[in-house]
Amino acid sequence: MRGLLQDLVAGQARKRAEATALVYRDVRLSYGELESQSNRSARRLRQAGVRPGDRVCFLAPKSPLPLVWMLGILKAGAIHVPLDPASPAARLQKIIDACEPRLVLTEDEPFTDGDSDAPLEATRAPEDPAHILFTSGSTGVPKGVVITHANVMAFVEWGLAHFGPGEADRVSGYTPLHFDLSTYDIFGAYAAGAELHLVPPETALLPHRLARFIRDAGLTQWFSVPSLLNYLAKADALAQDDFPQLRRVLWCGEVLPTPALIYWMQRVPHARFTNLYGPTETTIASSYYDVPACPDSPAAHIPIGRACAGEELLVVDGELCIGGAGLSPGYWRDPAKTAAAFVPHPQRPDERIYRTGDLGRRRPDGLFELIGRADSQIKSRGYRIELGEIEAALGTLPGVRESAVVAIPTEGFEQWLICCAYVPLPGAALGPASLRAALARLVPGYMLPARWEEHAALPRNANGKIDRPRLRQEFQTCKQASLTS
Amino acid sequence: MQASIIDELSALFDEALHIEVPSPDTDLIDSGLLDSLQLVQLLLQIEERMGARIPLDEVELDDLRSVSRLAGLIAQWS
Repeated sequence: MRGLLQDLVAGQARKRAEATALVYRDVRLSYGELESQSNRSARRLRQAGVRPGDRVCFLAPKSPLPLVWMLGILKAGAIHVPLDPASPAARLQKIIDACEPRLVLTEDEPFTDGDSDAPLEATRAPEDPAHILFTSGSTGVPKGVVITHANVMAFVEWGLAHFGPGEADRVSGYTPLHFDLSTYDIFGAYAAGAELHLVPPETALLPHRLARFIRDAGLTQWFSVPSLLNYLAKADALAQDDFPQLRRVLWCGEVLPTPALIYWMQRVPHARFTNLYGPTETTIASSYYDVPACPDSPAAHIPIGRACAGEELLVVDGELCIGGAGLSPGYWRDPAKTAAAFVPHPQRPDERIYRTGDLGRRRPDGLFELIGRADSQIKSRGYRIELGEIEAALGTLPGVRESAVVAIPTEGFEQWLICCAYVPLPGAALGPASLRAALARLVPGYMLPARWEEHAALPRNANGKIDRPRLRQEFQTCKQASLTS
Repeated sequence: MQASIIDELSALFDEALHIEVPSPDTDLIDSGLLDSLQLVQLLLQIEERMGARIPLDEVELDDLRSVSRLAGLIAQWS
């Protein structure tokens, strides 16, 4: 299945123009409508001066409109860069400065119906970039991961063969568009000719409401970060044999706690449960593990499994590395970071592998397992967070003399609790609430520390560095104290 | 009665969740101040500090939209 991502929709529109492609609240869009609207959008972008290879950002909450834009941008030969509408303006500005877009599309972009809806001539090849996704960077500047049409196509193709989705499928669109799991929701659905059901963001706030959504829409596939599955499990939102039409539950982005997996497998015994693993840099996911049976112990360790077709997993000096068809060409205009993370394959030096920073091992049965992280990156609710980015943002706030951000593991559905120890400048009256509000203007909500501790001075180790293990221990102790009080 | 609940709730947002809420009528959901993680912590804190156990499966989204709406919910469940 070589080709461009937008061809998936064109193909469905030729075969089944009337079939539903997208559902959002009370809006339904057929494949035919999606094709003609995105053709119009592509022509408008061309008229606005967009040329092949240009970047076009879009800033809109999840709805059919940005999905039409996404295809329109690709059809115009450009590269789309989804921006998170919940992200503070200061962070979005950094992303816009980095990718220098020809245009930034926003919700009030006028849409003229008068333009022709005939497709434009294709100008791009599968090896050309389709989108750039920005992730947390440890120095405070988000990193742009360049993803090609062929990168996404490789995973979509594997998903078609492995899961066998078809025209009768109704798949979830839970993940925000700036986050790479959404790529599979969207193009996986288009490739299969399935219906993509976008989940309204406020629906996920209440577990029972989300469960009702899955039930009422009759979803056949759910794909999200584990924290959502865990949230529903903790709230006991599922009935026995719930979601009778659900056939596949997929998760990716972090570890799903085994007790939550057991809950789901007991309540929805008719579904197949698959753990997917892989960072944005290797496109959606690179390995899979179909859980063969409900684990018998809540302490059971769920492996990340084996490489998807066309991908390769290997452990180099304890670090998990990934090679193969999903490998991004690198970070946007950052050869130094690209060279550090994408290195030659140890056996085949003309090929590259990506160093994930995850520590892993290969079990005797050939399945891979995650052990931990090599650096200070954490995953919270599926978001990749560099603690250094939070510290860098805190360092720009007036009144803060010094700060350290550490994470401690929790039993809760967020997996990690972000904690901040800070030293105010002499004379500065800084309460945690006002610091948090100031930080919220610089970093997204999921990066905001939940615990704050004012210090006269930060603890140091013998080398004069901030003693982070000690801070972690202090936060851990005060967490236990507050639980037992 | 309601006014004192609002005061106590505002203090809880500030001290326990470290969230600055501009006014009791600020929309906590549309403004993005409250996500699912904070919602769970909020309900835990309301139970601990104010003795009201609010069952997640009984509430509607609109009950959680603002501090004043939440105060009504607490009055109902305490």
